[in-house]
Amino acid sequence: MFQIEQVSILIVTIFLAVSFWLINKQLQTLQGKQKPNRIAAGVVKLVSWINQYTIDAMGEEYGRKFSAYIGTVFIYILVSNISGLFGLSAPTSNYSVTLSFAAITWIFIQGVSIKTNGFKGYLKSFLDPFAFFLIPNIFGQIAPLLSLSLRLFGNVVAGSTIMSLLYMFTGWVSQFVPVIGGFNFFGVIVAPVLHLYFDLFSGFLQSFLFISLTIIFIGVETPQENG
Amino acid sequence: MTIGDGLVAIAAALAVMTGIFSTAGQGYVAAKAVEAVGKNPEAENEIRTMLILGAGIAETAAIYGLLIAFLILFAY
Repeated sequence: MFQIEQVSILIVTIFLAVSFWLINKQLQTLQGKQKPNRIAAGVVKLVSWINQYTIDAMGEEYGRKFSAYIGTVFIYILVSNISGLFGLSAPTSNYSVTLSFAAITWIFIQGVSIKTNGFKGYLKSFLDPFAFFLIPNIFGQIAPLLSLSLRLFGNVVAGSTIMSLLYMFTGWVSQFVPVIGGFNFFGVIVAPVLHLYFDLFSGFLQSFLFISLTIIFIGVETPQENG
Repeated sequence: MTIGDGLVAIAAALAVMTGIFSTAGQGYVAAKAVEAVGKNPEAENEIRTMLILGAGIAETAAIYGLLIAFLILFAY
């Protein structure tokens, strides 16, 4: 069964791979005190910000290990959300994609919890404080998975649906103009502001929120140094 | 247009009403953030980050409602 988002995933992945390779080539061929160009400097700043944000919240040891995953997810979800502006059907508007991201995060959360407490300690944590708290504790573990995936999916799908409804409405209104009716000029005037909110602002906010919640959920499970 | 279509429209409108409390919650978050900046103007950048994060989380319930409304509207 063919889903149109498979093509978008392919295009986004190829675009990201080519841009990473070009920026890496630019950074490798620096000699001495030569300054990198603006895009490479921006990328260095982004990576250092992600490292600092992750290590602040997760502690030194786990922060270094996870900052690569966090950075990848952030850049990928950001570019996927914005790709609605370029005519692609956004990859994150398919629930399978967001469920995959949330599932990887969920596996990391359970893995860090098992590694910190041991397998028996992990199973015991389902039974505290009382033995019949088993079912609420199970739901408490499944809730982050569902809420992370549904939040991202809902925002992107709502944005794209509202924009397509707006274009249909402005197309119907534009047909009454006598000379240039038939061309959806009214939508071209009204739509950019809404695109600014739904695609750019919402896309950036949702990707930032995804990684913040990932960092918080994993950071709660790591051993505290001053605990 | 049958009675069924009308009921579907009413159901979608009821589902989207979760936005009422979400807006009230986000306004409360913004009010507290402004008050905190007033008390401590140097911490403005951290407070701005917390504001955006908190508002984004409080918006989740409204997005769930909107998603259910779209599902009802386009699947029935």
